Amino acid sequence: MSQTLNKYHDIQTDRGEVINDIVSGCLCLALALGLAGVHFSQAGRLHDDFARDPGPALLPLILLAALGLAGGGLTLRGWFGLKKTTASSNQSSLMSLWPAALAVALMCAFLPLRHILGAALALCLIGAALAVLAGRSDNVPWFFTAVFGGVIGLILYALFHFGLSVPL
Amino acid sequence: MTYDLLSTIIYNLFSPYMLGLALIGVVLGLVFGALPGVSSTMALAVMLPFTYGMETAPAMVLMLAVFFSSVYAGSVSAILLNIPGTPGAMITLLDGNAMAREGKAAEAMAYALIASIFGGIIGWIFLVILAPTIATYALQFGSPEYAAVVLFGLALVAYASSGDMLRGLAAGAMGLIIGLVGRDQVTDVPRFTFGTADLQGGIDIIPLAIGLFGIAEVLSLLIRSKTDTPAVAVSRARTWPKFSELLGELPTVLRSSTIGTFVGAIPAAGSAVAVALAYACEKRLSKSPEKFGTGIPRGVVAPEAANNACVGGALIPMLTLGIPGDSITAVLIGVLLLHGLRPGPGLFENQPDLVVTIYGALFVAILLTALVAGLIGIPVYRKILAIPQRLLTAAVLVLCLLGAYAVRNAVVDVWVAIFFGAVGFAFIRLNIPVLPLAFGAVLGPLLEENLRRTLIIHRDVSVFFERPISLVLVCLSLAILLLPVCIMGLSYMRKRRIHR
Repeated sequence: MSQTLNKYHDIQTDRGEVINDIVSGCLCLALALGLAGVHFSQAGRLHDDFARDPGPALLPLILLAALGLAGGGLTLRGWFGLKKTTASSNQSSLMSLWPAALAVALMCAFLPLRHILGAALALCLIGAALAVLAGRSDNVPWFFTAVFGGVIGLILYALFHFGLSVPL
Repeated sequence: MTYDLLSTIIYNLFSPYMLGLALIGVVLGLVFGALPGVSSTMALAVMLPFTYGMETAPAMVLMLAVFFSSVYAGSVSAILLNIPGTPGAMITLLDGNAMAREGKAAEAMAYALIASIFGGIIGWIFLVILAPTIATYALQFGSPEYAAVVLFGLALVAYASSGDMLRGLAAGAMGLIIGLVGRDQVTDVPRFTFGTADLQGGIDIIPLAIGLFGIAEVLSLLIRSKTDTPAVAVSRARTWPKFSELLGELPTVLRSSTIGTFVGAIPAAGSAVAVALAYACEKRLSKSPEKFGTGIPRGVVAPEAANNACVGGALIPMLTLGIPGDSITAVLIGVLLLHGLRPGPGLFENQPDLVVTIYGALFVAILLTALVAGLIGIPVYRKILAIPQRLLTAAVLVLCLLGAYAVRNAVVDVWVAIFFGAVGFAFIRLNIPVLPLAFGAVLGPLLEENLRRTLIIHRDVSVFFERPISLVLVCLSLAILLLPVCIMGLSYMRKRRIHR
């Protein structure tokens, strides 16, 4: 019980957590509103006669309301928390997330590359690029890292294509 | 269960194919679990693709072997590097690494292994005894009880997950909405499909798990700054503790394993809570609590026994009610769903042979972990820990891509895995618990099915308050959800009183 209280207290005194609250609250609200838009555009075809004939609209409505309420709660908590805290200089910037963003972009490139070059070469290239990205601060020549990464991609391709008969 | 069926299952379990799979699973689990940053859940997510072409029983044998051995192996990096390999090993490092720094690394690892094996066996005994009883009881559940059980599980997940409850609730709601994507089972009406044909069949749980627990964790590793691993003095003077010393730790093993099993059985409480409770309990009962944290064997035995007993505990709600005990069992439910099976009381009635095979597979995994981990020494572990992270990262991400594709040979599953990888990463950065999202996605269809069936049959939500089991569960769920609000209100009032 007291753990929850302390957790809440700790969260509120940390500026980073306050910003996390606002960002996640706004995202939840946006998601709830966006999905509600999608849901209600299908409402003409949904039987949402509550209780007597619980149709496919019942649970989505409850969940969208719950998501919206949780998002609103987070945003409000963050908003009030902003007043209690001061900005700190050691907050990490969004730019520090570039390796993760690049890794996602490389993974997204798999499907287009597979069409152009074939799965084996695509996986070899992506494996090499991911290894170089992960080893960017290691004291190992990037060329060797790329070669090892490429070989890993090829081994995994062979394992899935020939070993597990997956039509890549 | 007839004697013939039981003997056939045992014969199958000890066949070269099954034993070979279990051995591979144990070795891979030991490697994955020992590597810092690679959790047991990630290990299972990475191993998922290799189970697609298998029958259900071999698939479960492989996954349970990876599960148990990776949970034990988390202690290796905790002891040798002062970095927990898995969340459950975060307490082990206090005394384990202190022992290692005194030159007793081998002894600490021996204590960790013995405690893990006994913890695992005690958890297994509880599983074998309790699961059939709970399943028999659960067979009498109607749809209101089942809907209430799911609601209770979700409330517990939101409450117990890391982060805070409001974020847990938001993540749980998102997960439940994900579980509703696709065509409605009763009316065939599409929901949240955005007009695409690819989402009409719903979002498969396997690519979602690969994204949330595989890709997201690797993305987090990518941006984490590298830390130097502290050197540990390794002495070969004595590896195994004396029998009398082990006997002295027996009460600790029994207490900690019992705590581990029951905490493991609570949805989302997880091994991190179990080890903290077991450690605190031993410290409280000890005549010299000040020695904890300075490098005493009991400080290794208590968390390791609890950690591994959690494995059996987490399987109890998974097998009997179809509710995952933790993120790992959420992935295991995905394996069963992939093979067309829904865990729950029906599994005990319709597939008793599979249930017994799962029991047997876990026991074989425990024995093989003891054998393999006992045979390999610190030099081997040092080699495992020296695997470059850059190559591991590339291998895991490529494996995640291929694994997601291989589920149904569908391109959409690759996009789903990448999307949920990015979502999971964002959750980790924003300190939102990932577990409720996965739980919601697994339990969403189950909740809807039972809620709608209840409302169609009974025409009124008051039925939840008329039947004793559902009444208790709904009240408990409401209490769990409202408890933090009440605490905050009381705290606010107390502060105002003090201020005046």
